[in-house]
Amino acid sequence: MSQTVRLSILEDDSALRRALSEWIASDPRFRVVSEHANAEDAISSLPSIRPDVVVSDINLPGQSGIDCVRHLKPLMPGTQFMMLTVYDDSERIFQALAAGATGYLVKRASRQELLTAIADIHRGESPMSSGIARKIVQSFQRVEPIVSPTNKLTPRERQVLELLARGFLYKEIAAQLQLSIPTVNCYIRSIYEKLQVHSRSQAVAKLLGV
Amino acid sequence: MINWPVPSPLRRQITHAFAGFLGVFLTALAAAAERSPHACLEMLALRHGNRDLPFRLEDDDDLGPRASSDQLHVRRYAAVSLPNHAGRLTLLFGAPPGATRFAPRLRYQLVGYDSGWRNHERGFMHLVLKFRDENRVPVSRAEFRIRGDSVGWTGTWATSALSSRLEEAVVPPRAASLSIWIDSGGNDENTGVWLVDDLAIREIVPGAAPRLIFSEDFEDGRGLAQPEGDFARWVRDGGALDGAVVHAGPPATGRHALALVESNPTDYAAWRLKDMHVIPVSPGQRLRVEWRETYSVGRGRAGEASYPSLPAGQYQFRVQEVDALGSPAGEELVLPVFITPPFHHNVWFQAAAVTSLLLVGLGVERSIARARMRRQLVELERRQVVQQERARIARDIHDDLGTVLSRISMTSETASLEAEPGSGLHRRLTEICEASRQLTLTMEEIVWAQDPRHDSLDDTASYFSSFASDLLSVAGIACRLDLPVDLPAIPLDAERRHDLFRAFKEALNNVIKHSGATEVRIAMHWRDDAIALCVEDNGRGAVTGTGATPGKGNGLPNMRTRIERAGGRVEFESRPGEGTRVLIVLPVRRRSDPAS
Repeated sequence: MSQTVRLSILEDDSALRRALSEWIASDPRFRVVSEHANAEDAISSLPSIRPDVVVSDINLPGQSGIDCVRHLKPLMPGTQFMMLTVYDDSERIFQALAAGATGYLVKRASRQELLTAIADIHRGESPMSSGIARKIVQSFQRVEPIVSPTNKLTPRERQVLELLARGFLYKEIAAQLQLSIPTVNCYIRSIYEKLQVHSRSQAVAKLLGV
Repeated sequence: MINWPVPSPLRRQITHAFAGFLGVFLTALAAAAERSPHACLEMLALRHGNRDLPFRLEDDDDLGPRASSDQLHVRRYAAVSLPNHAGRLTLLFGAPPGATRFAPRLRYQLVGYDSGWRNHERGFMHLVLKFRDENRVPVSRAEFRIRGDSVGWTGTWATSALSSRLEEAVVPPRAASLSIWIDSGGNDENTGVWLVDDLAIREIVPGAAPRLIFSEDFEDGRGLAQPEGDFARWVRDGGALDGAVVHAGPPATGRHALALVESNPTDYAAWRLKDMHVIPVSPGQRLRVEWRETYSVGRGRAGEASYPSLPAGQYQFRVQEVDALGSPAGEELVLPVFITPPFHHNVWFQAAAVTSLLLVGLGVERSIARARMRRQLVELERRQVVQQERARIARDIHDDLGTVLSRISMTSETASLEAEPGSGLHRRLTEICEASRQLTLTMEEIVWAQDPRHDSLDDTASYFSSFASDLLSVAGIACRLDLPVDLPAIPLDAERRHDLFRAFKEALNNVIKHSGATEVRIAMHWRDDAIALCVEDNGRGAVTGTGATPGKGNGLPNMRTRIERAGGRVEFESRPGEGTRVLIVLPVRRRSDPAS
């Protein structure tokens, strides 16, 4: 990471926003370029700011963090969205991931955990819990309407996903499949991207009544 | 009779009613006129429900002189006919007003209903323990009654068998002496026979054999061969002294026994302990009173019989005058009673009723169906309201409390970063931070269980898998999950979800704390009516098959209580060196099931 990572924060609680901003700013690797208190403001400002990472609360007044990601991700595919949530609610996190987020973190995380998570997501590593993996497996198992073959999971990706759903850690998957940990990370990021496309096509199919 | 110039239906009715009244009146007059001068047994009243009914003497074979002493004189009454829906039938019988003689004892039965002769239930005799203080002033008494016939009573002394009686009493405060009374009852009308032998009183001593403080075999006395003989320690009492007798021969256990032969329905007879032989006692003593006895007890002079609503049919009410021992003597009365079937037992009525019931039934059925649908709708709405309310509360906790807690943990951590590391302030701020994180975790569990959006087996599986892999990865234990991806849409309400989660958490904590395992396998399976959650580790296992590692506390009893309360069960398998397996089975309800 030669360059400073540019970050935007979307959080409606001012005390939390200030704390997040201070934590991030205290690390020389990161720079906070904008702060937003609601999704509407973020949606209108962020496309021109183009941060590397957006740290966003899921639960916001008005449009939610999930709505915000769904709107912004297609406009700024190079930006990673990391969702913050009070509780480890796999359904909401899954929705955010399907909308375009590539990382998530609970708000009770410590400063160090937050900074590590931001660095990881910028580097191309995404967390995926067994519960989330399980939901993704489910999502891909549902009847696929008009998905192009490129958006289907490869057998390797499917293996990684299934091992995750069965409780294996990244390093255990790497050992099991004789891969490097960065390769496993690669697969996971790829799974997230396909999940987004998949969810979008599912949503379209739903709209078209297919 | 008055001659009505123009008869009309109304007048005819009045005439009939008057004639009817006159008839009853004349019958009563006739009955009074026909009454035998030495009768001691007549029907006195007949009541059905709360209505007094007329009855009439039909035939009295006692009008003439008695043919022989062993012949019963039967008094027959005209049959009475009653509808069976008027309730309880009560019959009063006995000596009429102005009678010069009283039946010593009466027995009765409703032939067709009673299985045999019945003694009057209110008649009784009793053995009384009378406690007195130092000044011989009565303090208290304990009373043991006899009623009806004893088990061994055959109708005569010789063939009757004695039965044992055992009673207990506690000596009351202030009592200094005890006297014993065996008498024919507090009510003069009690009559019958009672034989008492081998009377003993023992004090019950805790941890030791009972101590004998009084015993009497009724063999000590003068002139015991005669009924009027005297026992050494007993004296006769009461107004009917000749009723208290000495009995010789069987069924006495020795040669003699104490007896009451009471045939005087206007007084009582008694045997009591002589004053010089009263038994010294002290308060609080527990006494066991034992004796052997046989008896037949009833009541004389007058009586009352009562029957609940009787089924339609023909009955005959009979009352007999008997002697003290219960053998027929003297007079008898007979009253036939016909209970007529109610109108709804009539065939045509039944046919008409069935038809109209069918028609009404159809209507009722439809309105019941409509009412049921309405009720179900209301219930559905109510459940929906409850669900919405639960969702709202969960959301509020999620949004508001959660945000505040996050603020506390974040700002306290920020503050701790500014404090000097290792200082008291730093330590305290870190503690605040940890406490708020802990609280967030606890709330997460509660919110998860309460929010109806998670009311499914599938969501439960996802939550459990993330929870387990997080918890175990921190503990450095490998987590292997076997949770089917295609779980059916089985609803799992908040309570069950919470019970299951708590049990699951206990099982995992148990593994982390006690097992020393390196791997945990978690499996969830479902059947139509139950889900099974299995937590299996490769740790050291327990020495016994019933607990966790010996000497260490575990949550298994809690878990078991919680799951069993929810109607499920917990199986626990463990062998030393072979790990531990906990199986939690919880019944569930399919979505298609009716609301409970």
